[in-house]
Amino acid sequence: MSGQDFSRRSFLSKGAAGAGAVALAGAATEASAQTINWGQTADVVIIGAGVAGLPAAITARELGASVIVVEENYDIGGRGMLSGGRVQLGGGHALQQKLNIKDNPDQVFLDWVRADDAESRYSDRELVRVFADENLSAYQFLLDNGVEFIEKPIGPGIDASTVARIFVTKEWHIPAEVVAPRRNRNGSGLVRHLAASARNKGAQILLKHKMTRIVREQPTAGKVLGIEVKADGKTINIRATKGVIVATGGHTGNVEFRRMFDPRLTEEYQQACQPYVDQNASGEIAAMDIGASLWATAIQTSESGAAITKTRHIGCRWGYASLVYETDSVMFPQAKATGLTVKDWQDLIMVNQFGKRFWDEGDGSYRFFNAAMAYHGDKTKLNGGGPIWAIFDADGAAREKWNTKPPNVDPDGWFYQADTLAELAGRIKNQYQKQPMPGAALTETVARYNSFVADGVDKDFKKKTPMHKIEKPPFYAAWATPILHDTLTGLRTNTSTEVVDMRGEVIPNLYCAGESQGGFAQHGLARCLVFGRIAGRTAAKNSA
Amino acid sequence: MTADTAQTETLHETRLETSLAVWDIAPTVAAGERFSVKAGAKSSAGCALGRCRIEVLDDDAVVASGSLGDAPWPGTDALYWAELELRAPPTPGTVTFSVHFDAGDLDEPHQDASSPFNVSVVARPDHTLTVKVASGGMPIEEACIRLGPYRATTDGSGQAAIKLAAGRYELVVWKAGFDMEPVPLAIHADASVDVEARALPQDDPDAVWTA
Repeated sequence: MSGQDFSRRSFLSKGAAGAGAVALAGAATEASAQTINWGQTADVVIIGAGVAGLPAAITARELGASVIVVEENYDIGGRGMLSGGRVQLGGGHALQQKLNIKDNPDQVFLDWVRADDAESRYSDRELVRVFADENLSAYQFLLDNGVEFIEKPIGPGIDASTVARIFVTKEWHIPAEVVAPRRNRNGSGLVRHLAASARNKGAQILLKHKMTRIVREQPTAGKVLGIEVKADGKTINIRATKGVIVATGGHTGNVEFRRMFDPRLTEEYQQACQPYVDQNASGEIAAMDIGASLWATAIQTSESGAAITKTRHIGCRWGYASLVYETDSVMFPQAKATGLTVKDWQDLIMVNQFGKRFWDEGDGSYRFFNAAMAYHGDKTKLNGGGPIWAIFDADGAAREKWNTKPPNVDPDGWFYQADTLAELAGRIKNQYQKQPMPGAALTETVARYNSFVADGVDKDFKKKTPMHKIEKPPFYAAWATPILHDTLTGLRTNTSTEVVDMRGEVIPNLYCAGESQGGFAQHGLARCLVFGRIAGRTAAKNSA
Repeated sequence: MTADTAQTETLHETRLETSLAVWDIAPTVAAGERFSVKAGAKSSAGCALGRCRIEVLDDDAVVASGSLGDAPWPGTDALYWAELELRAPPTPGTVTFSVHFDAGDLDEPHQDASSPFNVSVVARPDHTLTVKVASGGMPIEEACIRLGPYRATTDGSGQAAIKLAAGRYELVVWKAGFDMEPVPLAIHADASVDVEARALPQDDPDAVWTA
């Protein structure tokens, strides 16, 4: 580690002194490494201790570079900590061979540039080629760093892959260190092992350090020199002699940023993995502030993959499909409810903020999302579709075997109960519900749906054989607004992960990997792991 | 506006709202037979509405009436309810009735309220169809069965018995996690039909959704 003392105490001490002595060069001022009082220095500085940042740190250390990782959260892992742990690495690795699965890097490439699949057709094929060629070494890298896999493949058939190459990591073995225990958050095993390995190899991971700026010699020219962070209320400058790696995890939670891709994605759409992780676009914005470009933006709105998902755990704020914070989760005090897990979409209807159905509740495709986000007549808010509420009755709750009381639901704005439908509509008060839901409209909607149940035909939205009337009190309204998940594209890089500006020029000493990197629309962990390794390697070898 | 109408409007404005619910309506009712529904009324202020009059109208004719009970429906805060018995019309078809709540002279003035509800009136059943639903030899419990307006749910042995009139139907079976093709049926006598349910791949919460 270049003989440096990276203890937290000494770091903060130096950082505080540095902050007091120097006003860091402003955005319009020329800077040089000599004019800035650096609180700390490393060869490679990585922003984000997640699925891209951790392999970058390990790889850079293995090549002899000193490494500082700054992480704004109180713990490592990013969204990887809450991931299902599905790693899409193939190419014919040892586990595939053991299970007699035929695969090779060329097939990986061909699958992920398929023209007949919306998840693959928009990707930058040069990035995909490198990804494919690095699959085998990335898989071995994970094994070498303690990651274990369940020896049972998933797929093909659920993404662009034509070969079974999704393997799931084993969950971290200490429940107290799994943010969402007992809910198959196997990604915890991936990031915990990688973090342990990174630390063992000498990488310094600084938690609760929020990057606020990437420092470049000139506002949009010259080399990247380091970063500015805030920790414990103090501003600290960290010098990166070889490079800064942006591994901040994407933009999904940043309303202004995500609306550059899709203006419909207004504030009512929550971000999966909140409140543990905030995909705040901090890396993208900091890089764009110094000239970086976005890349392959069509990916984000290709209406494939899991950029937008259906809320499957209703009646709570963050009801992502596969993520539940149980009451013993460290996140539960913020999440406030586990949610009611929907087993059968026949047991409810969904209505918009005006109390009207808008689509077949059984559909989970982008047709459903498009209908949910359609203009519903709110003259004060033309973009975004507003809140979506699941409406059901006592019989529906009984069929689903739901207990409609806290901690299963959050009555503070995300779940309501009433004796009649008209009363239910009037009770809905939520920060995103801009006007009262008309009771007469909800009553009429339910009456019409009940007539479809009687007839067996949904004349409005063709729900398959509507089965159950909504009539027995009490009645319920549960938050069921679509929730946003994947950041599918971001900063432009070349195949070595060097960030590129809008003129096609490399920004010296700036790299990007993970969900903040643009150009490869793959859901899950593999692209982050592969390009994280490449970023760590490229930065460590940088002699600029 | 006369003084009288102004006073009436003032009174109207101060009346509390009332809303209604009607439930336990059988999926089908045989023509001419008696059946019952439950109807409840809720004061917007949660006032006790016990002993208030509630009635069912067919057009303008009262076909059933009663008084709300003194105890709210279980699970509700203040939904006062009554079970009302009425007779189905002699001709099959969808019939719309209306529940009417008469606020009368409650201490706290309330608005009257009305709410329509539909009943599927069918011909008198001639036969019994027994539906058995299984998947790989295992009975499927709580599968939803429907043939036209007739609906039922399978029991623990995967069976449901439906009394229905002779005729042609499409048997539709629904159970989340299974796929079953509709079965055309001609019912002329008591009958039994076995339905094989194909288990769908386990719901994959990490799956991606495509248009």
